[in-house]
Amino acid sequence: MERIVIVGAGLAGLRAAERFRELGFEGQLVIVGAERGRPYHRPALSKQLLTGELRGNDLTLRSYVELDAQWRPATMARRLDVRRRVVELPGEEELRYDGLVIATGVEPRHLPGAARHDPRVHMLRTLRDGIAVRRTLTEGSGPVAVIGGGFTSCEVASTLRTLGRDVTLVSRGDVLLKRVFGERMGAWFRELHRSRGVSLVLGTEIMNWIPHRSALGLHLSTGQLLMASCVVLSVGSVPAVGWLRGSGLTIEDGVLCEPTCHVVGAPDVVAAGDVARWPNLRYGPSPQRMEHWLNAAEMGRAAAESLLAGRDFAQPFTPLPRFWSEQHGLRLQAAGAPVLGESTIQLSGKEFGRGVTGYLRRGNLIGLVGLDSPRGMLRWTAELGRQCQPARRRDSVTAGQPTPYLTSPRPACELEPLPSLESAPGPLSIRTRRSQPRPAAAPECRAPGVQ
Amino acid sequence: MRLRNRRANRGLQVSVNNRRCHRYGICQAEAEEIFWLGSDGRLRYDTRPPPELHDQARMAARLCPMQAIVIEERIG
Repeated sequence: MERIVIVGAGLAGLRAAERFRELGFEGQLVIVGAERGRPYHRPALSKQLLTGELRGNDLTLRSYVELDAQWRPATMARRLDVRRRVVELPGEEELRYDGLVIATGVEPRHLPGAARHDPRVHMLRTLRDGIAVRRTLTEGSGPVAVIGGGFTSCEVASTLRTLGRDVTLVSRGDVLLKRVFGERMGAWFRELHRSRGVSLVLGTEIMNWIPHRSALGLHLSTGQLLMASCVVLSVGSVPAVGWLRGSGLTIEDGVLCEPTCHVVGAPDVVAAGDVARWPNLRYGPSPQRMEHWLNAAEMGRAAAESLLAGRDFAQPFTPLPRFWSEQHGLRLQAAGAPVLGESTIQLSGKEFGRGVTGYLRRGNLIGLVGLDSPRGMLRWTAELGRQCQPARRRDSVTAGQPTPYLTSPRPACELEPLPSLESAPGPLSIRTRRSQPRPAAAPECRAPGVQ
Repeated sequence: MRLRNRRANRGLQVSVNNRRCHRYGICQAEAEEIFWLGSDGRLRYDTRPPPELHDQARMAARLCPMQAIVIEERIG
């Protein structure tokens, strides 16, 4: 391979580029990105960037190897021709490739009827978006409306409360984060946000957007009129595959891939990150997308390995999903696929507020959710990895082994009673712990023989 | 394909930005011989891990949710 082109200059694209060099690829590496700058740490957009704790420049992601790449920022790929192995760029420029990585991620979903062109209405996907939201927020102190019930919305609402802002979260769903955690835990999050002063208007749609000079009015299906000086719209995302129309690739809900990240129907093309839909053989043969930060990093590397190895020798990419969020000072961590669980079991911690909850399916551990419990998550994630093994390629997918703690006597897999919110630590608890002095690298930790 | 061996004979210095770190413990999952999250909630780490752990150290830095790990490569 002489030239590898990576379309998408986000986390997955960057980590793929690093891996190519680590594996000894010495050809040309071209990274084409729609945004103006270098890859950055997107999770901070809804948190530290909004508070002002970190600025745009602080978010640049580092590469841990010399990339020696040719960067093409602010460049939207227009078309892909897999037969001629060409990515078409603006100005009819044709970029030939020997190997291609598709890592264009997702775009925010639009809400029909929303006053998208009003300067007080923001999406929150790019660094530019984040800086614009921050600017609108600092221009006044009026109430803010957050539209959507997913991770970004919940984090933005939480950040705004720590800034002392009035915030109303409007969502069509009855609970929060339902798509990831299901109804019960979603209800718990609803109560968490409510208890921390977020006004919630759930099961609600926006009927009309009424722009005024001083504020923006949102006419809700409840009949309520909500006035906001800033609106953050975060109602999900869609794979950024517009440039692949006509390429012959399957692009419904993302780019369809084989278990190895190789794109179906195109030679020497792999995909990684939010845009890729592939069968994670750990969970069966059905291809899925996964919009998690850690997955984008790991999949970028796996896709690079697969591209260099070639279709016949590449290994299936079978990650154990891990993700996190931070809301109202509470660290939330999850692993596996909690949403597939049929019942739960408390694995550590006396209350739901701090501890690890296991999600079970047919008596097997399938997912974990930890609240302020990183050590418990370390332990149980390792256990989940052992119990939930990927099926080998071409094998039929088999159920995991029964979990040892579920063999006789079998504990009840009844739904645990929901924890009371009082057990949730307040927003100060993390800060308190963080402010404790911490020894930087105790000398006794040093490995012998290393200077 | 010739393998690059740019990192031979190099030292590696690990540090963690206290203000950024929120102790999710992903670093320990990636490199348990370098990072330890104690029962007191503190993170301890080896500032000069041996060469065989350098790849793990980089992986921990890549996957840190807070991007709090600083890796400095030094010659010698």
